[in-house]
Amino acid sequence: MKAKIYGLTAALVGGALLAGCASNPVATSQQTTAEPSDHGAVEGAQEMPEAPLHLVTIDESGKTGMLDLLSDEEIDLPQLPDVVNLETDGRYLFADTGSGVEVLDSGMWSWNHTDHFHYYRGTPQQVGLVSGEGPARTIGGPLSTAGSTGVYFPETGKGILLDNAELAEGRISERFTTQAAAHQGLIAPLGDGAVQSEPASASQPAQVQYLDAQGHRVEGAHSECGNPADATHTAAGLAIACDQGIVVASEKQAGGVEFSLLKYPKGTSADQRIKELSHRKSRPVVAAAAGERGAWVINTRNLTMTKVMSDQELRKVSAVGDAKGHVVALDAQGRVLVYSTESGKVIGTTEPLLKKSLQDAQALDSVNLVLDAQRAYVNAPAEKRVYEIDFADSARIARTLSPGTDPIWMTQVGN
Amino acid sequence: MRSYATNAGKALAALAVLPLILTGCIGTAQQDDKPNIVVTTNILADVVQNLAGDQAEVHTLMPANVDPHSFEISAQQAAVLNEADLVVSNGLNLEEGLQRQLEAVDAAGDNHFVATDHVKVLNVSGSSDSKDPHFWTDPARMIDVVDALEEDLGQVPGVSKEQLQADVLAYRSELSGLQQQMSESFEQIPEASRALVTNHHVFGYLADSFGFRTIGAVIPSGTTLASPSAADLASLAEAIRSSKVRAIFVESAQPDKLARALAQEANIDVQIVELYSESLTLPDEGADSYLQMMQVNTERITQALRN
Repeated sequence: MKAKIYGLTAALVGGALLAGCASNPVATSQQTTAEPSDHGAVEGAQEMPEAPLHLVTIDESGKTGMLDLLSDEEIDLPQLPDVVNLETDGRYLFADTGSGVEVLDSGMWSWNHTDHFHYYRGTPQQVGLVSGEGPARTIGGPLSTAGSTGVYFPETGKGILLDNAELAEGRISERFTTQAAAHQGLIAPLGDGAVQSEPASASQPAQVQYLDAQGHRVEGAHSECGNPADATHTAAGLAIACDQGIVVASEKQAGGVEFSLLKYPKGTSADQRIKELSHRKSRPVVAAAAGERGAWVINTRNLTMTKVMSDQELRKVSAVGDAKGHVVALDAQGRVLVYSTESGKVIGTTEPLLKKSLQDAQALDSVNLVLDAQRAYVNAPAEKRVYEIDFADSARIARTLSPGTDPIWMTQVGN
Repeated sequence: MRSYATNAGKALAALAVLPLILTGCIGTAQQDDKPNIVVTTNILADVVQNLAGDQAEVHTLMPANVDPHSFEISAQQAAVLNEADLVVSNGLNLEEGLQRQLEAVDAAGDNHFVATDHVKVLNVSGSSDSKDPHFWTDPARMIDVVDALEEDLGQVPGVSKEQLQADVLAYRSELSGLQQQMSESFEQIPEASRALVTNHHVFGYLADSFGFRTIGAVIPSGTTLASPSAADLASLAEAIRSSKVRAIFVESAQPDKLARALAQEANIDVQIVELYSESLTLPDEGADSYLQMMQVNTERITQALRN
């Protein structure tokens, strides 16, 4: 394993090392009581009674802020300049600069414990830069505290699998790197290893291939998949959007991966294929815009794919995956629509919320729609607002937030 | 035997630990000749401490008020795990983040005790294929675990079987006492009110053992309570109405706000009660031993549902 430590991070980590073994979690049962709570700059996290949900916003200059959705308190995070895309796994922020990915630990996260969750709140810290050329695609794992994160650079074909446990220590550390011919592809963590796309060659069609913990190809563990556009972890496994349809890769036992291909319905044109998969974290249902009109709703557990809202021109779509099957969408007029799979219709529509942003191509580019168990959030970059929408209550606007740091980019952490 | 709650016992323990703190780092625990037992959760560690604490060093991977970094065990900590004379874990995916290290322990030898291998396991309420790991909410099942532990602890080199037997006997009688105490306490609750409305099913075993219904409800978060709506409270209100109980058991960051919102939006007057579920607290924070945690929970459930 190759570890890279960058300037500021090195100083932080050094401090923690000097403060020494107090942070060591292996202790006799009595010794824990004597542990000093302060061990250097990296404080231990606290278990919380509920998800420490926060909105992270980044303005034009790279100023980054974090708004506590429970208390309305706001703090500044380290700067993230030159952002061209912002991703999160619910804890870490992966800010793509177009020439490397800057990683920030928000210090807020939830830990999925199968039948329930544990929630943690720690200290935010800068982690470091994942070097690479051109824009990157970052795909997190199911748990932010264990496993890994995949970063892929399409312009150079370089793939990196980051160790999440090392990120928590404030270090960028690679489990392994891969090098393929440059192509529109991805690398996504799965189990101990990763799934990586491979471009078509004279002898082989395009596919996704499972790599073991050392980055070695596992013979026979692959599935057809042309031009993978996006991938996300759901409760049923890793869902990958390919030319053929959705490939779901799941780890049946340690090291054994099973691929299922859910094909697009007959008659699906190329422009209706999925470019971006979106859903509430850890849920089995994902949604995506279906080209110019309508949305796909995909249950990755039952392997079903349905087209809904076919008469709507949608820009962003995401699935809650709750009992009522709520799907939340932003349409071309800047309205937020709530669709219920249970009732099979749109059950709520807001007024147009993003009039100014819709006229500004740049602003439109950074509009995001994120969901937690009870609310949806949409940023209106030009209006400098974030709308909080209650999807279970006919798209009621629950709060209109004006974060101290303008929400040019916005996402949610703590979930 | 060192009783779980005596101050003298704690003082002795603190003295014994002092040299470890001064020298600081891991590995020092091996300085004396006592066998090493590594336990994953602090609840089980407390039980093991009561059984073998006089004869062995009991290390816990999950300290009080859980430090989540302990789920991301380092190579150094893995080494201690590998050198342990006995590793005690809960099982049923509770230690999800430690799975790989525990598998390595299994691969290396026959010194891994998995508590849930020794109890009658229930499914997670409402699920047909997901096993519930929270067996400790039923002291009778903890007694089963203690019985099985006696066997494995007796095999650890350096542990005197005679003393172990005496310590196990003493602790088993404390557990039996706890069970008795819980039964008597819960008998004060009318049959119709024996329902636990809660946000996750940690108390499935307690319910099974003492005749409670568990009613899962979506408890609105503090975030939504900043702008509550009927929809936020609908599932919870329905659960409260159908169970006909006026108390819910919840770990809410804002219990007052939740109670107010329920009263206003759903016209329900309800008491909100906090229980300890999955981790012991630090000393003097309310639940620093397994027995105390169970006693406090019992008292709170009875108080809330009695009338």
